[in-house]
Amino acid sequence: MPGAVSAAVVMGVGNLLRQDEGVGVHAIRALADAGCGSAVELVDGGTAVFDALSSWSEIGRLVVIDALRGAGEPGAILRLSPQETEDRTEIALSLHQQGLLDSLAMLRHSGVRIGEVVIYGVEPAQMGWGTELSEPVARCLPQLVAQVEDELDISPTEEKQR
Amino acid sequence: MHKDHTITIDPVSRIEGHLKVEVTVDGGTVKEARCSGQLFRGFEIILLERDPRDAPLLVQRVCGVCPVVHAAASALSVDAAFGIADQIPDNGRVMRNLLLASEYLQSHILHFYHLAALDFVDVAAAADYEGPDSALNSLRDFIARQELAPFTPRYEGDYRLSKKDNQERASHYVRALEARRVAHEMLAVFGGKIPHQVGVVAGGCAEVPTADKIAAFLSKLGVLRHFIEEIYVPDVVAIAKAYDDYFEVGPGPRRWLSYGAFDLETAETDLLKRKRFIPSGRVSQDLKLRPVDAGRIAEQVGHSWYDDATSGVPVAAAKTVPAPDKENGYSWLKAPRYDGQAYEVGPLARTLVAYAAGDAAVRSQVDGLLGLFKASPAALFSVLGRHAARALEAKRLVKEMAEWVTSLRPGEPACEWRNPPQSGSGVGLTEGARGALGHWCEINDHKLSGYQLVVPTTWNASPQDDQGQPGPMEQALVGTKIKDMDNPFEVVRVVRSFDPCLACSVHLLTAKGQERTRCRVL
Amino acid sequence: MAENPKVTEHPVIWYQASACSGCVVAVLNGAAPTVQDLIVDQLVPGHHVSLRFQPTVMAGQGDLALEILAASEKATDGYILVVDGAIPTAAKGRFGLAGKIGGETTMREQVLALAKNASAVIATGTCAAYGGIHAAAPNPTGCVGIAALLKEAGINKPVVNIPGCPPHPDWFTGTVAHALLFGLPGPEQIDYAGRPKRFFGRLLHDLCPRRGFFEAHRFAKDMGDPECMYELGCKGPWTHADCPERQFNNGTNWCVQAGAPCHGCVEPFFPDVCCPIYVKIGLAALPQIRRDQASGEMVAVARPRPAEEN
Repeated sequence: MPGAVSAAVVMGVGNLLRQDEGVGVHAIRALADAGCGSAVELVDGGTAVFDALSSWSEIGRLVVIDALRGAGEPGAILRLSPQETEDRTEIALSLHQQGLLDSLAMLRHSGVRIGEVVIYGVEPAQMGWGTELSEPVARCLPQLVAQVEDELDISPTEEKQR
Repeated sequence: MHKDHTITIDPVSRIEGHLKVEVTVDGGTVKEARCSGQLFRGFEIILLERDPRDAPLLVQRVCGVCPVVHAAASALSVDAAFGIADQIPDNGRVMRNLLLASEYLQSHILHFYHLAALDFVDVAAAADYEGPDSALNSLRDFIARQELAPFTPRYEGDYRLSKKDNQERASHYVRALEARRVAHEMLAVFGGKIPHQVGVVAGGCAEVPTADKIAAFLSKLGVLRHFIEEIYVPDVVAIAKAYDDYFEVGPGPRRWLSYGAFDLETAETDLLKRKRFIPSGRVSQDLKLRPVDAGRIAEQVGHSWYDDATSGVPVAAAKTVPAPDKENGYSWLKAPRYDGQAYEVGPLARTLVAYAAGDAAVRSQVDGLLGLFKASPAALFSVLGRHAARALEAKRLVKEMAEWVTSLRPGEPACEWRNPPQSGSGVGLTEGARGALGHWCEINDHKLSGYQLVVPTTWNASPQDDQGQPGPMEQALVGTKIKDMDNPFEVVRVVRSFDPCLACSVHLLTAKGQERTRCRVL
Repeated sequence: MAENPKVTEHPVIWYQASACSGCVVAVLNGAAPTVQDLIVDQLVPGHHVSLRFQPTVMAGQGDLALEILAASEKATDGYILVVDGAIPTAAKGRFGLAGKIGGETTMREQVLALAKNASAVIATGTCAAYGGIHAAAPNPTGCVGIAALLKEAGINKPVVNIPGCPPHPDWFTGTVAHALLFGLPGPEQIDYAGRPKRFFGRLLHDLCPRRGFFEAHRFAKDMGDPECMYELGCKGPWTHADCPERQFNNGTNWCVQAGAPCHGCVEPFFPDVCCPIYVKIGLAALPQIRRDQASGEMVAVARPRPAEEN
């Protein structure tokens, strides 16, 4: 079955019901509102990375946005590679169910070609039950959008998507 | 109540939904009848652009008395559209049957006791009861307080049972409240909750069978079997004996139709050819079996509040365009016709079709009943024929359900859960407690692009069609003799024998799509 | 109210509008109390509910029934009006016709006349409370819940909402029992959506037996999996109801226990925001879940929708 082919995919992961743990998905929304959806694929990965990406056959560049402990003060943004998330023990991504590396390995093993992978991690303040981001994390979203646009050479359009 | 020779009954109570009946009486006999569905609940975008898997859950809200059959018909049509009609796991097939059959039992008991019985039973006979029956003692105390609602006001002058027989039936009315409640508890074992269960889903059933659930189901089934065999069926016979003239009242169009129900296999994807516990077919008074072809069914709207341009189109291509001010319309019901003819549906239809198909159990029951009353088959085409068919069907089902539930296999799958395909279409045909039910669906771009329902009471309570041919209930009323224009028992006894469900018959719902902001007017 | 030294009669008019009767069947399914307790016996000693009008079970029909409604419009006994179903208001109400003595009227007119003279109104079911499935957009019959209808008509009556599709019978009979014992639940016992906090004050997610899986980030992938069904579309996090404790049909089962995700049927935003049933709510439609400052309880509230395109 033929899958999608994309030059660039931005995927936000995390649980929307756990406040800052859902920052990745909130970031996707912010990128969509900024008009980036016309330039790159925006994906709500939720808590299931494998399922979110399994309909692709080729992804040129993959940007993953997630909550990440060890980035610094709440709202701090850290850019790193998947390998660094394994090597640096002081940092931890929000996904406990399956490590991001494991998911990527499984996808590649099942035939999905994925090129360079970059992770943007945001330090959470609150990860209790609720849908609202904490203030410091909410405040970092515009900067996060700007960094991702920069990463992927996206010129923001005037038109906002709903 | 009546002007000159017209009797208007609005609302008809003790049915489901909103029905108005108007009969014109001349020389003590009904010459013309009009049945009018009084409520329209939305336009036919019911599930458009929605995930097809939502359909079985949402369509249940067409009716809270018979939601399972809507879920079942919907699931059948969605299964077909998904291309998995022959891949439903056995556990899923069997649980669907159990859920639907449980609904029949609840519905039939509710209908006979809580909807119909007050036309034949005088609960006031409990007023001077003395004895140990707690239900009768409750009723006696209730009557002594002299606030008799909801049992009065009522028609007066034609309660024929002896005081003792009235008391016994009044007690059973109260006991039947518990029996139908237990039928719903039984349903919830595999359905989660009811009304509006969550078990029947596209692909099978969400619940999984275990030995303890099987045992719980059997326990409640035993309670129902006792009630049906020892109380319900004998009560129908007792009422029939006291009101035996009603074997000649309300014959209707003498044409009956059944789609069949309760799949015994899934390999055959043509539902009308599938092996089912209740067979499909058509019969008339000659009791010769004829096949059903769903393509010959169309709804006419000549006397319904819909645009005439939509009349008579085969269902799969039909549209719904309401016209609330149309002058010669008198009902929100459309008029389903098979080859242009009106057909009655329901337990009597199923019984006669099964009889014609040679079903041994049905023949034994029916012949036994006719023998008891020394009556010819024509006696079945009547008010009492319908009540008897309902009770005898309950008795057959309750036995069969014990076989079905013990065929469940814990540990084996119950559901083939799939994402919606790009496109597809399907039709789900089955029988609910009240008769033949069909759901038609169409999928495009992974979402529903079309949905239609033709439901049992639309067949039965339909208005006149484009040719002015009255619907089955209207035909059943014509020729009925009315003894007392102020207490027209005869009219309501005929109407209630059909067990009308008006919410079903004007079935149209609206539902909001996630991002849609535009209204699509068909 | 007719009184004798022993038993006080409490008259009730149960009016059915644009409905499916599921709410009626639900009440018939009550196990403790039963419908016999409610209608025939004394739900609370010394108090009897006199069900003057209820179309599904009442003996009378036609004018016999209409005379009861006509008398109620002038009655001084302070009856309670129970409504099930939403009220259609488009096309001058012609989508919902009703009989009246000597003619015809609409459900809208009839229910307004009954509400004007009632002492209070109980909206049973999500349709009567908020419009429910019959009011899902684009809502061409103009269906509304009873509280909204009364507000628009300028009729000021206490309205208690008992939503659910249909409600658990105990939610209804429990409210009636409260009324008989202590009076109708007052403002401090009612939540922001007009629901008794006793039944609707806690989020289902807080009571759910599968919550442990949610906390451990273990999610069901397929029908029949035992884990948390958030990824299969469970709306439990947004749903204020005690279903996991109370269970349905005499404690037999309930949705999640039966392997089906909660579909949020007690919420004002059912079914719009809750569909697709088997898909989790995306960020665009996501109602807020947060801790309420005043009560300290977790609550879920729909966000105001952005202005629609025309």
